[in-house]
Amino acid sequence: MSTGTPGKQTVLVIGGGEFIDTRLAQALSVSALYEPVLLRTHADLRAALPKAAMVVNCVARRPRTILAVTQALCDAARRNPPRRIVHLSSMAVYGAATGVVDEATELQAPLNDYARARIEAESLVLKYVADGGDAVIIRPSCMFGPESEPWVSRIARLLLSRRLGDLGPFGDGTCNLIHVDDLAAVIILALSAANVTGEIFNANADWPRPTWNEFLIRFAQAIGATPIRRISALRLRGEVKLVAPLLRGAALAASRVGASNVVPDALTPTFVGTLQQAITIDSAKASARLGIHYKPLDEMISEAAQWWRAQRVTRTHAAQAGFSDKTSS
Amino acid sequence: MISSARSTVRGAAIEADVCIIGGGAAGISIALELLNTGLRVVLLEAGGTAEDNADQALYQGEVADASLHSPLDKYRQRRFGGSTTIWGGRCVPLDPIDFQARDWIPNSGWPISYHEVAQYYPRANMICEAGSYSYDAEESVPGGMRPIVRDFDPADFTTASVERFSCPTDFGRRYRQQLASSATTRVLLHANCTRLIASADGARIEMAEVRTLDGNCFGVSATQFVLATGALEVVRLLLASNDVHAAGVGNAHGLVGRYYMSHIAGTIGSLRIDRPADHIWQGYDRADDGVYCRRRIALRDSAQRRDRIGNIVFRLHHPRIPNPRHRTGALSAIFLARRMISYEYAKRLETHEPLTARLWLQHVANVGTDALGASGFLWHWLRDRVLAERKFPTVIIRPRTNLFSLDFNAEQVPNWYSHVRLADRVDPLGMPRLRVDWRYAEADVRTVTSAFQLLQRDVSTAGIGDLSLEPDEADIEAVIRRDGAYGGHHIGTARMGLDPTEGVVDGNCRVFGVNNLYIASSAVFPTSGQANPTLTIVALAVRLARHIHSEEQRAISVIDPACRMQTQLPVFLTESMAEQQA
Repeated sequence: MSTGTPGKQTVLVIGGGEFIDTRLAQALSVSALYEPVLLRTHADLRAALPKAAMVVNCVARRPRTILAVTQALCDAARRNPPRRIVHLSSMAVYGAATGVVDEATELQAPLNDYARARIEAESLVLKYVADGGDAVIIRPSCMFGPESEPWVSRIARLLLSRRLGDLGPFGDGTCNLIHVDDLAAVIILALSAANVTGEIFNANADWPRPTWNEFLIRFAQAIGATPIRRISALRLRGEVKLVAPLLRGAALAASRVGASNVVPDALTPTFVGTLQQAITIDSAKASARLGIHYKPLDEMISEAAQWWRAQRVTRTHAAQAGFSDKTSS
Repeated sequence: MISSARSTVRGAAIEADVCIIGGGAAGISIALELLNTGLRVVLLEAGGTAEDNADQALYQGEVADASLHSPLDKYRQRRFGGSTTIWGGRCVPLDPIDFQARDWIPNSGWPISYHEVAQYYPRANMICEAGSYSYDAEESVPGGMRPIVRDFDPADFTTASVERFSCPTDFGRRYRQQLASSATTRVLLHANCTRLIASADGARIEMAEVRTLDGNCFGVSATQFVLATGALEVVRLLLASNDVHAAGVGNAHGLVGRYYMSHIAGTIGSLRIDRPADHIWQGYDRADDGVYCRRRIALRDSAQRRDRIGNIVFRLHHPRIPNPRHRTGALSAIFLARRMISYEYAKRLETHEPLTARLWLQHVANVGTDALGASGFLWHWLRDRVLAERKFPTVIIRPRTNLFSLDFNAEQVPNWYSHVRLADRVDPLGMPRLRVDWRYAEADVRTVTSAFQLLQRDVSTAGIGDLSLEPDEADIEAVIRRDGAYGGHHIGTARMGLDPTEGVVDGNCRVFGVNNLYIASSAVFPTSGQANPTLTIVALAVRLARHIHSEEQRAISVIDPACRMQTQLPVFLTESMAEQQA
């Protein structure tokens, strides 16, 4: 293990797929204690690990990649153990649970491959801890904030196209969000916290949680997607069962010719299921043990809306100037 | 969990912390508010999830004057969601003056203040899906709402007051999933509560007796009972539960069923506006949250006090549809299609004039000469009403001439002689049917007459046109009699009062003399105000749910066992015992 800058510990951030890696790297780089090394090519993992004092595993999206990278990380760490691994998991591990869930809640049968991969990856990390390693698991809720493709850009596009709005009973689920900067703060706190080896922490803003309907209405007002449309059950079912498979097929085909951004967003069953799920992620343990304070919802919405409007203007100007209209992710 | 009372074990006694009787706006709102409190809630709904003739027929009763009051099985729905399954969705809060004791309106004044109720209106607005709690025309819509008539600023009225519209939300359909997935809430459909069984000393309700139309019978015992039916069924159940309370529960002073109010409402007059068409706006604006909002012409408090009259609002309305003089194709098309419109909405299309061939031909001619207008309206109605999830609230048709009428909704003064009582006949469940004797008073006529005259004066002073009665409207009272009691607004039959001599329930909606029985209904309104009652029903229901929750937390495990011992209950067993015997 080495330190790139004198007095600072190198933190290897294994990214790829989520914007948390760059935000975390930014947050680490301004701290007095750490120096981040962002790793997006996982083939370099074995070579990079010995140089790092600590590791944050932010790998996301594809189930196969999550498992492969986590397995590779744990194997490599057994040979060159870092001081601590912070493994980023997901609230997806709670599956279809409802009500208030904390870290002790028994995990239900996973809903999909992604949740299954998340649970298996946690098992790999916990086995690493059982073998004598030092690791902490964080289960964040939906990551929100500037540059969030799924929870800001996608929702904004769907609201503006009136394909999303007031969902009635389909939006009664609990809105569990965490600002990306707050999540970065949780991770940084977890890097140095004492007596947390092998612990799991939920990371979720602790303000009174609105329903997804309430959030969608407030966000739509903030980005000017008004008047908000009430979406009927029939339309939503049509979107999920008929339109979404077609759009996913089209997106796959379009991606092969490098034009995936021209295909509209799909309202997938997983996404719509999340909006309906009355689950409250209890993050009291993280608040108590790590001492995190969360950004208020109004501030989160206002900041995300401001970012969305600004990057929309930029994209419009770029398109007018003949540049590609590529969505940031 | 939602199940049918028909499959509940016969003779069982279901135990709960709170038993809610009635699955309409009030009952469902209370159940929603108690969802995450840990309290075991049983909600008894008399109907199923769809309209059923046999269930609906249980509402049939007698009306003293059929020309003034609708049949009792109209405007009410005996099914999950109650009358929200057919309501129009108009949400309006009561005004502060409605809560005050006014010496010119006998028996006026609530034992609780406007502010006591107002703090629950925002939550009620959310449950009703009427958007943000904003009832001011300048705030409801960004940039303010369009004026009804440009530069018309009447002296005795305000046009800044707004009504907002629910989807309209069918509470049963909207909140079914939330209730069904709850581990602590149990909704029983087809569960007709036929009797409230009181303790021997009458101080508590021990059990609700439940019967189904297919002959099942069981009981629900609970710590707290909430009667959350409409104002007519409240009377029926209280008076029919007369084994311990001889005059009926809560009726020691003969108040149950008295002071029965509705709204004095209808369509009146002819308003000719001498302004360019684009200076007039009778329609809706949409708020950011997608909710339809509309300005009203509301009589100011100061005018009510000065002229010693009740509260009233007017709305700019298309001309009376039956009169073909409007020459508007869409209106005539509605008249010609009136047999296809439900009773509740077709009632306003009634006319006392004979339906002559000439009248029909005039309407047909209107459709012919204004075919574009008629087809445009039909397209708008299909797109924005029939197919839309948030529905365009009412028929808004711009008359071809600048000739309008006025919709009005006026307060009815509390009137002892206007009453609901049990009839001699019984229904198939053995419950006495109801007899309604709705009456209006001279004060009600005066409210509408004075307000109409004040508006005439304001219209004339502003020089915007002319307001007069229609030729077929002999006087205001004739209009009131023509339109009768406003359909679904049943109010005041178990009024709230300071003590048992002036009310059936106290300020917390608890029945005087019965410690664990509450009423969540427009039955408890001591006065009707000008506002449609649903929003206030829901606000009071939310308030009651929070009161019950705090009472339950305070009084948990302090039920007097001796009280239970004295009770002569029918032989109801626990559910498991009843199942074993079955």
